[in-house]
Amino acid sequence: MIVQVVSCPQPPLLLPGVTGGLVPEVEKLRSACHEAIAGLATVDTIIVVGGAPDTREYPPDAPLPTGRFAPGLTPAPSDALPASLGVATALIDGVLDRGVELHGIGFATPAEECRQYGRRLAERPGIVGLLVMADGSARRGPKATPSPTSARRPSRCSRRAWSSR
Amino acid sequence: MAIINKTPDSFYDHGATFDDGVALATVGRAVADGADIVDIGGVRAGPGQHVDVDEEVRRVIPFVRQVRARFPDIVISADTWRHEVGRLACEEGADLINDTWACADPSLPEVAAEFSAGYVCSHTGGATPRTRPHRNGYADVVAEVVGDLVARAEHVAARGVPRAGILIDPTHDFGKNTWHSIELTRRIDELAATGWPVLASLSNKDFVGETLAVDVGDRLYGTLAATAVSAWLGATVFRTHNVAATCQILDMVAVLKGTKPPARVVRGLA
Repeated sequence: MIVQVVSCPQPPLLLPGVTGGLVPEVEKLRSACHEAIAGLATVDTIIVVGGAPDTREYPPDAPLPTGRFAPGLTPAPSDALPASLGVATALIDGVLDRGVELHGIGFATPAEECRQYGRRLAERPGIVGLLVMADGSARRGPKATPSPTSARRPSRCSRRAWSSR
Repeated sequence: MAIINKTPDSFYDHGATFDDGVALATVGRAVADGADIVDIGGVRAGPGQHVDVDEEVRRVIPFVRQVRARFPDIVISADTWRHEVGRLACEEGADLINDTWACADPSLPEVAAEFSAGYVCSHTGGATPRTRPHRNGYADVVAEVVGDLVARAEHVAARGVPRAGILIDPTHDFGKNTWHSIELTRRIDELAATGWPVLASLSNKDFVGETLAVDVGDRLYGTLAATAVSAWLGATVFRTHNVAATCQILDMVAVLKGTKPPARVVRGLA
């Protein structure tokens, strides 16, 4: 069963190196995410859930998508993780020394299918911790409108990284 | 290509040339400083006050008429994404349509074709006009831009726009973050290799600001560095707020490339 849920935002600027130099407000956000994720240390299984082009599990050792957002830093291999799962992997690295499952949920997945997917995760045996990559209404604003390919569903989620038992 | 903003709220000059008299004087100075083209726009590129067609027409069209009358030899570019504005500008003597929002109005190429005007093809990654990029990602931003712009250039040529009047503009910062704009600058020779003339619109843009951590008023040196590199790599038209400085940079690069002789060489030769 799911005993703990942590939610973190998923901006590409949390991928390593993407801000170029250190940006204090981003490092503050990164630290808050690390602190929240550290709360998952005691569960048996950590499952990461995030938006993706397709609904499927992604290999935890797939490359980060850094090159899609920061060409010149690294190449952008075709098998790179979606941004949400890439950011999660980068945040987990160095905080938790253990394997995780990466579950992408297709951007266009209807709400009921999302619920069913969640129920299946909740029925998993053992003590499961969930890391949900989502930033809801923080993605909106006159200076940060969604790209044509991004999900368009509004949300009332909190802007800050949080965890709850 | 000198930027003439007929706007009260543009990011760089904050409405300094909104007034017709000031704008006309700015055109005169740009021409004297070496500009071959003046690019006249009536809508701020970024988010801001809504400007409908009628208001854009009021801002731009009478001014185009004045510029054409006062400067009969200058190439006038209309910076608009709307076919209504493009048509009226061409009727008043505009020679070029700078479609910064990449055929957001699909009727715009037909206007250029009707008047045998030139056309700037842009890449925005599909962005809606006056929106900023948000988490845009590209497997290879240069390949994406080259593919999109070549297809768009062929598209507008097929609609009847004279091929000799078509330019391609990678459109730095539109649908792109700073890394993408840097990569496009670094590899702008790949755009030049398409054979279409490349317009580089770099002037005081955010990618310069983020690269050097400088505010909008302190981006001239960074802009000129990017201009020099782009000219060296084959870009041929430069949209700029700072005409005199840009012309000096371009003259220097042309001499270094060997495509232009130095202006005066006597030292040690007498």
